[in-house]
Amino acid sequence: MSIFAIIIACLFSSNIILSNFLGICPFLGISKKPSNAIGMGLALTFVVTMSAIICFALEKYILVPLGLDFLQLVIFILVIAAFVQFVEFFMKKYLVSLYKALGIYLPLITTNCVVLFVAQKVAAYTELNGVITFEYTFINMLVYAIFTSLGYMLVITLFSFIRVRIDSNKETPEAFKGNSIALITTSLMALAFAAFMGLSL
Amino acid sequence: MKIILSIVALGICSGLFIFSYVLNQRTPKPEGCVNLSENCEGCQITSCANHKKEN
Repeated sequence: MSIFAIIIACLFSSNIILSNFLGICPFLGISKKPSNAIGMGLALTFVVTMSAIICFALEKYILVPLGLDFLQLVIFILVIAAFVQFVEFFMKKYLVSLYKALGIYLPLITTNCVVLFVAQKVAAYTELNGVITFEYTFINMLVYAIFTSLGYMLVITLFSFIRVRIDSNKETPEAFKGNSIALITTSLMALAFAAFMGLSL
Repeated sequence: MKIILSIVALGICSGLFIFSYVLNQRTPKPEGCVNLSENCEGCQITSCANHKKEN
């Protein structure tokens, strides 16, 4: 898969929210204001990229050579959770202005399933006649991790602008207010983004 | 051998998480960040620090 194809797939045709339905809780919770959506997207981009690099290296150089890949899920969860704690600690201590802007989203990222999904996806491999081949090279893995989270940021930001208008609309029926109308709007966005699947790359 | 390696790997990862958690909890929040709250209501986990507080 070419780098360009990965970028288009991550941003549009296979967007993590609209085609995989992952990260929906923070998507609904943090999309009420565009500034919050951008902050969440930026924090997620950093955490997803760094945790993908760590998990890819762990899988390739420690878990698979030692035959411990059956522990992948548990170890990835612990490593990601520890990484987020370290990032929060570092921001509190040395990057106060960044902590003021993004620190509030870090606890929400720990529970965001996008992080674990990307980590597991980039660490995927196939074994044929004892030869192990990883599906992603380091560069492909890096591009996939960065653009998957940028795709998340794109959708959550677009949705937050729509949501501002929906929330201020007085004609929304009582039964549809809140998450109901938000999910219906998301499904319409998913249909619109599905049009990109027709691209032949 | 594999069982011992598994236990060691899990122990290291658990220890790493506990260490980072304690380190983070013991670090005070910077001034002006003590009462930051997101009022998030994306899920029903009310124990989360960012969950919207009921009045």
